[in-house]
Amino acid sequence: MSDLPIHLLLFALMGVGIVVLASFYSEPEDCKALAAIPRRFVAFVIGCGIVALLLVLAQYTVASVR
Amino acid sequence: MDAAQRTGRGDANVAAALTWVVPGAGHVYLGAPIFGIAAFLVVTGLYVLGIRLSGGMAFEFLQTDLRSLIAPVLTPEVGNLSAVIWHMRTYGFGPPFPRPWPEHIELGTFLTAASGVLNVCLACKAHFDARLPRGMRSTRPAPGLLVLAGWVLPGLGHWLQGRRLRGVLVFSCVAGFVALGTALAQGANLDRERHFYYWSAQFLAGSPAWILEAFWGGELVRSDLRYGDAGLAFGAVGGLLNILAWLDVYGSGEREALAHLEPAEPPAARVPA
Repeated sequence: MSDLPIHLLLFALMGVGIVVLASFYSEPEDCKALAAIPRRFVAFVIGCGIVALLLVLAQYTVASVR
Repeated sequence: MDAAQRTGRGDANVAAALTWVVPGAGHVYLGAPIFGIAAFLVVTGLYVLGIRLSGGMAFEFLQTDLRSLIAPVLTPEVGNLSAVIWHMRTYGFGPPFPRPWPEHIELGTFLTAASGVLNVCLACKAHFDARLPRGMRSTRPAPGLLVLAGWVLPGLGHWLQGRRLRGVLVFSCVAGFVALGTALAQGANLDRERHFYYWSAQFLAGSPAWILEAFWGGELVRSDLRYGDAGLAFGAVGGLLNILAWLDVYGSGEREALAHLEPAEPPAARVPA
């Protein structure tokens, strides 16, 4: 659990890279692509959070090995 | 259907698909047999050289439980479909007992993987050439070459297009991810034998991954890899993100190139002496 901040930092770093390149791929104009990065990053974090939540729920319910 | 498609040399998708199946076949279909045969010799020659150096043992790197018919689909070699099918039919996963690796197996598997990616660049060229009207040429850089440049050095394709900000961002993300991944995994990510699939993705990151592997590949792991998994993920994601950069550079490169055409021969050259 003490590693959590480092894991979150690594996740944020990877998320920024993915969002930046995805934003520039989607938007032909650089200014629009740059402006879209914060909104896209929030959507990325929320989406990943939902997936993580579902995985944790599954771990304690249908996929529990206890 | 736009003007370029109406007056092009053939169906662009057919040309690209033919090239994927057999290197150079797309150009033979487009009426450029000499280029097609030369491309076949270079791309397939690279694969054959790789097979000779590796003894065809690239897929023997896979642990037994990871071996399946679709395993080659997740490697760069799949870019050269006929070669990878021949490779699997001739060598497969090898005999059911371990045997020593040939001396130059790393170089050999590098060449077979490079042949697959080169053929993807060739397919891009076939796609563009099919859309290029007869008797015309573009004044802009060829999109297939831009993709090749973007593979060799991430962001170089964008840079050559004049999209400098994108080029710098692509290089920073892709090379940064591979470098960070290597640091976190202490070089364990730079070994195809150790991490077959992660290596396959990371190979697409181009020279940053190759240079790191040339200097630090195959190093012994001497301590606990606390963030080894994160390192593998960073390296692999770096390579996969470069595919996104190739798509961007090809899409815009093809649009630009088709919008800036000129006659292939200058008017003076067409006047009989």
